[in-house]
Amino acid sequence: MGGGGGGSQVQETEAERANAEVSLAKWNRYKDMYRGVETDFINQVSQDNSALLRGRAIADVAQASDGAVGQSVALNNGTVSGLGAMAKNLGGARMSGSVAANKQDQLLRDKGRLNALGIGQDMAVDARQGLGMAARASHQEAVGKARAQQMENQSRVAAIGQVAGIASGLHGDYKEYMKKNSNTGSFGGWIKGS
Amino acid sequence: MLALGNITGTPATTTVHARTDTDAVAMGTGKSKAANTLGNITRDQWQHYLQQFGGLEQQLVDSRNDQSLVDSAATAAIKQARIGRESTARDISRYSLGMTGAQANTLARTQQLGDATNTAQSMNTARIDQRDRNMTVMADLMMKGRGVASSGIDGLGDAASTEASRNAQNAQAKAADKANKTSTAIGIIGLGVMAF
Repeated sequence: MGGGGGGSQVQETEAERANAEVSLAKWNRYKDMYRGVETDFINQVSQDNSALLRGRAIADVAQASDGAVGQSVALNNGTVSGLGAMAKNLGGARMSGSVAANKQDQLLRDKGRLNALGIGQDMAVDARQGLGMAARASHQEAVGKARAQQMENQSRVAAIGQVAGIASGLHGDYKEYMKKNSNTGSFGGWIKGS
Repeated sequence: MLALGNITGTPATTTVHARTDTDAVAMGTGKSKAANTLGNITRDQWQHYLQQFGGLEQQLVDSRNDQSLVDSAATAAIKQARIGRESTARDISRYSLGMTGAQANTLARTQQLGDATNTAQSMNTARIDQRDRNMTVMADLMMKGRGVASSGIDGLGDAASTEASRNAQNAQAKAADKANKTSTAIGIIGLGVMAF
């Protein structure tokens, strides 16, 4: 509480000032530092990385089947009769590796996008709550100001009433004076006489 | 009104007052010691955060598109391929394995093919690992960013609320004061008239 203005004016406290300053600094830090991260994440999470994953899956198959030809020949008593089946198995492994890689890529993209959306929605909720808070604050201020206006109006009516009361009293006195001095009475005489 | 000039437009600068002493937070003086102290602590804590963790935070944000795993995988693949070839050459020499020209050529081709395959595989793995790492860092940073934004909005909401309440209170106090003054003035005038 302090002086200045009309009546006792409530001054902003140091804690309120610091809170407002630091909160604004935090908001600006989020804007400057984190919005770029969000943009990068959203751009990158949607990228198609299936080729990369397929490449690794196929390379894994190739590594696992290293020496398969030699083994096949050895298992078939030095003949190439098993090579066809071996090639078929290898092809199957590569194909299922590719399919699995595509699926994994799709799952990763979906998961990432859903996570981003979740964070975005949470932030939207925060912002809406902030707006709600601001709206309530404005409402509170408007109600307070309306009460003040009402107080002023009432005070004006009361003042008019007071003035009217005084005027009525004076008018009564004047009428009484004129009644007593119906022939010689005048306004000037009443003023002097009263 | 709360100065919110930085909410839109150009990048903001942090205008919170810098700490002027060591780590001490002075007790407030005057009528509202607690409020002053809380104000000092709030600013001090924010400055401390910026000094202690701000650099770390910035490093993480800056590293979100890091490519060091891919770069090091490329370097490592070339180095390991060379080491492999040298090792094979030493073994051939150690065991005095004589090779015909055709055999040596076949070995070289096999080695080249193996090196290329291994390099491609390690690069692919590194790219995937790098992407996983970067996306994880970005997802975690987004959560942190949400916390920072949320804290800012909460604080600004409190500030707006107390400001509105203060403005309303002040308007009412002003109106009451005006009413009192008017009433007093009329009373004095009335008394004067009556006395006259």
